[in-house]
Order: sequence, then C-alpha cells, then structure tokens
Amino acid sequence: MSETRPPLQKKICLAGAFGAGKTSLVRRFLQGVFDERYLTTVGVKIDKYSLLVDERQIDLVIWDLAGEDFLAPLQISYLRGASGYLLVADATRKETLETAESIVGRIAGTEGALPFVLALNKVDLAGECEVSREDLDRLETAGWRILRTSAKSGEGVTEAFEDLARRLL
Amino acid sequence: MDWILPILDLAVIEPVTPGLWKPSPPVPDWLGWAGGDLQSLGNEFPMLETFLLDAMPFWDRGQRGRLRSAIWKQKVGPAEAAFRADAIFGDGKRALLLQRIDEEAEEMRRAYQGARDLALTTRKFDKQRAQAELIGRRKDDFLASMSHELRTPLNSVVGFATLLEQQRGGELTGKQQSFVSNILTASRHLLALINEVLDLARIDAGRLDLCFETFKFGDCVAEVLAILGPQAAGRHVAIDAAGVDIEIFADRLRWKQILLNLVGNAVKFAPEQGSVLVEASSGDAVYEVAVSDDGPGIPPQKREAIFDRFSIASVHGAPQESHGLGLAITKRLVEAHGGLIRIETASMGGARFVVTVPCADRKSP
Ligand SMILES: Nc1nc2c(ncn2[C@@H]2O[C@H](COP(=O)(O)OP(=O)(O)OP(=O)(O)O)[C@@H](O)[C@H]2O)c(=O)[nH]1
Ligand SMILES: [Mg+2]
Repeated sequence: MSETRPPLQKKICLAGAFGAGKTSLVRRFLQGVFDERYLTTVGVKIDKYSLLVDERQIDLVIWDLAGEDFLAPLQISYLRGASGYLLVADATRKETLETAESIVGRIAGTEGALPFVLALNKVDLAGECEVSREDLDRLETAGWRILRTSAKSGEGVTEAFEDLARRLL
Repeated sequence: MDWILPILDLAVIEPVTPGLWKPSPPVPDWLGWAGGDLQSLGNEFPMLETFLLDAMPFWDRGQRGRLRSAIWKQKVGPAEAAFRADAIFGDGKRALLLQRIDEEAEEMRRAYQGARDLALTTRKFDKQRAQAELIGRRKDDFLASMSHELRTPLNSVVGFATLLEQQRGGELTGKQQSFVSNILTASRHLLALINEVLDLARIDAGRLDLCFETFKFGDCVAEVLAILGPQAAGRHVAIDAAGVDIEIFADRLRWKQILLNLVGNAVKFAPEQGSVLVEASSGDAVYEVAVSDDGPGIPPQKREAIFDRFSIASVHGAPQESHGLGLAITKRLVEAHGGLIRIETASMGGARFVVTVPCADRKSP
C-alpha cells in the first residue's frame, strides 16, 4: 500500500574542525572503507547518494566541507541551500567540540535554524577521549542530537547519516 | 570577450540567446553537457547551483570583471576531479568559465596539509608531555605522603627504643642492651632513608625553593667537618681542605647538605687511615668545589647511573654501604643552583666529585 512519491533531493553539509573525520565518515558511509592517512580537504568535496528513509527515497548531495582551523574559518556560504548538516567533532580533541558549538552559532546566524546532528567521532580511541560526560549532557539538554561514531570501526556512521536524513523529511 | 576564448583550455559556456547557454568548442569529454539553461548544468555540478546565487546578480550589474568560486571536487564519470568556476562579464557579454584544476588544487591541498599535520603533531606532543608531567607529579605526591606516613610510626619506634636504651623503663641485661642498640641502629638508618625519599620527592615535585645569600664557603665547610669529624676520626681518615675561603652567592643550607653528602660518602668509602680532600676555587663566571677520597673509586661506566634515584645499589666494594639517595638529591640541589656535577678519578686514586656552578646574578638569582 505504499504510494509512490517522487524522490527528494536534499543538500547536506559536513562541518567541523579540521581533522575531525568528516571525509572519513563520508568514505565509510559511501564505500565502507577507512584510511588511517590524513588527506585534508580543500574547498569542498561533493558526493551523491540515495537512501530510503521510511520508504521514501532521498537523493542526498553530500558536501564535505574543508575543516575549520585557526587560519581558515568555515565558509558559511557553502551552506546555502542546505537542508541540514552533520556536525563533526573529534572525541580525542576537546577543542573541536568548542569549534562545533561556535559553528552552530554562526550557521544559525546566517541560515536560520537548520537541522543538524553531532557526530562525536573517533570513539574507537576510547583511552584518548577528552570530551566529558558533562559537556555532552549540557549540549543534549540544549536540544542537540549527539551520536558517537567511528569512521574506523563503522560504529554509529550509518545511524548518523540516517538520523540526519530523517530530520530532513 | 572573443579575445579570451583562444587562450582558454577549458569549457566556456556563453549565452547564445538570453537564458540559453552553450559550451564553447571544443567541448571537453568530462563536461557531458550540450547546452540548455544553467540550472541543468547545476544538476551536473551542484557547486554551480550555489555559485550562481552570487553570479547572477554579478552579471546583472553589468560591470566588467570576474567572480571566482571556491575549489571543489566531485566525480566526473568514474574519476574524481577538482574544479573552479568563474563568472565573467566583459564587452556586454556574460560567460561562465568552468575549469579543471586538478594540479592547482593538489598543490593547495599540500600546503594546507603541512600546516595541519604540524598543528596535530604539536598538539599530540604537548599532550604527551602534560600527561607525563602529571604522572610524575602524582608519583612524587604519593612518595611524599607515603614517606610521611612511614615516618610517624618510625619516630615512635626510635623514641621508645631510645627510652629503653637509656634504661628509663628499668635496668636491661647486657643481651637486651645489645638488642635495643640493634633496633636503634636499624630504625635510625630507615628513618634517614625515608627522610631522603621525602626530600627527593619534594624536590621532584618542584617544591624546592632556594634561598640565596652571600656567605663564606669556608664556614660551611667547617660546620660540615665538625659534624663528620667523629665518624672520620673513628676510621682514622684525615680530612683536608684547600682554597675553601671563597665567598659564594647560593643557598647556604642546601650547600651544607651537598657537602654533608659528598664528604660523608668520601669518609665512608676512604680506607682506614685514608684521606679526604675538599677543594674550592672561584672564577669570574663559575665556582668549583671538588671532594676526593683515596677509596676504590667509581668506574666510568657506573658514573652516570650513580645519580639515578633508583640505583641505590652499592657500586663500591663494601656491600652494606651504599650511596643511598643522597647523590640523587645532591645532583638535584646542584642543578637547582644551575650547576653540574661530574665524577672523575682523583689523583690520590679514589673518586673525585666535582661541582661546577655559575656565579649567580646577585640581583635576580
Ligand atoms: N581512530 C580513528 N581515526 C579517525 C577516525 N576518523 C578519522 N580518523 C583519522 O583522522 C584523520 C583525519 O580524518 P579526515 O576524515 O581527513 O578528517 P576531516 O575532518 O575530513 O579533515 P579536514 O578535511 O582537514 O577538515 C585521518 O588520519 C583519519 O584516518 C575514527 O573514527 N577513528
Ligand atoms: Mg576532509
């Protein structure tokens, strides 16, 4: 009894501090592989991927944005036309969570309240985790959806993208 | 506008009639677009959709110039390629330049990579160092509190044994007296060792504050010789001093501790009837103190390890005698003064400990 509805095309972005694992998460999600080497992204890398959410096809256009660092802030203009974004922080570098918070503020300032999901990435490196339970509690209380991910092991990766996709419907 | 076309090795799409754009020949394979409205090109190149939001008003202004997009990467066919777009206006015409810039993008990427790798490596290094420091500090705190805990009961062992020795609790038989004396010797030794551990832990925990003053080094030597005199006399060891009447600017109490340790060791390791020599000299930049004995000496391969706080083992022949932690402490005290300590072979055959310290600036030590 499923009615056929036309596929939705949605632009999503990956944003966060440099080296947090944005490109690795996309690679894991699309190709199921992981690479230890760090190849930083310049500008944007764009991929397309279709997935079914609640029997509805969504054609994602995934914009993997260059990470933010002290030299180059995130270019908010890339987010124009985006329906939502996956915010990525590195669990082994506390300051990447601060970067993430600041990005959310800046995006809200120009693009309005876009749906987003925070991927707290690299959770496979449990012994090196620098992000505290209290930090996460505080953000969750503020309404953030937080998923623990590892591009290396695959943990939480599909869930993070699907969770975001569901928010776009 | 026509002048620019021949020097472009890439696709230029120019409007034929308003709203109908066409690739300018030759069309590269990767373009895969024969013309149409710009939105249809946006389906192939999602970045253009966003870029056109800026390009349209730029063209509409009708001013000669160029607007450049960011670099992006995407798949064209099976392979990934890097692109950049330029919106151009000139001679009343609009053009959109779509450029493949694989090499330029890779060069730029490498430049960023260098900076980011460096930032990550530096961070990792700082973190490891901070962790090592934290572990070290915890260990030192533990040692300090542990030694303190041990010292309290031991003080009462020494105290009560002393009362027994003084026969305050009644008369002792000869045998009992010798037992008590053994208890006292062993517990005093233990107490001294614990005090050393405590001292070392304090120094390593960074709680060593030097108190600088100008004093006559000779006075300090005299005090130390007075303390060690009985011990030396017991073994008929002669202690001589040469050139010690210099003035230095340093922590007097800590220097006394350094001397007590070095001269104490020398007396301990000198043979019966042996001799110990304390020398000092002072120059413009440094002053030097040396303590020599005519004991068995320290072989070169053991000279480094002897200052290690974990090397309590005897390096000399006498098994029951060791340097204890004293040398580890001495080394740290010397270093706290900005100086160095080294071991040589004395001209009289034994060990010679040489301490070299820069003359401290009296205003800001
Ligand atoms: N252990 C572990 N390493 C990861 C994980 N995700 C990414 N990495 C590593 O982290 C480094 C950076 O990953 P990228 O995916 O390039 O990070 P990015 O966020 O795209 O970085 P920029 O493009 O510079 O902003 C690489 O060396 C990856 O191998 C993870 O989940 N676990
Ligand atoms: Mg990347």
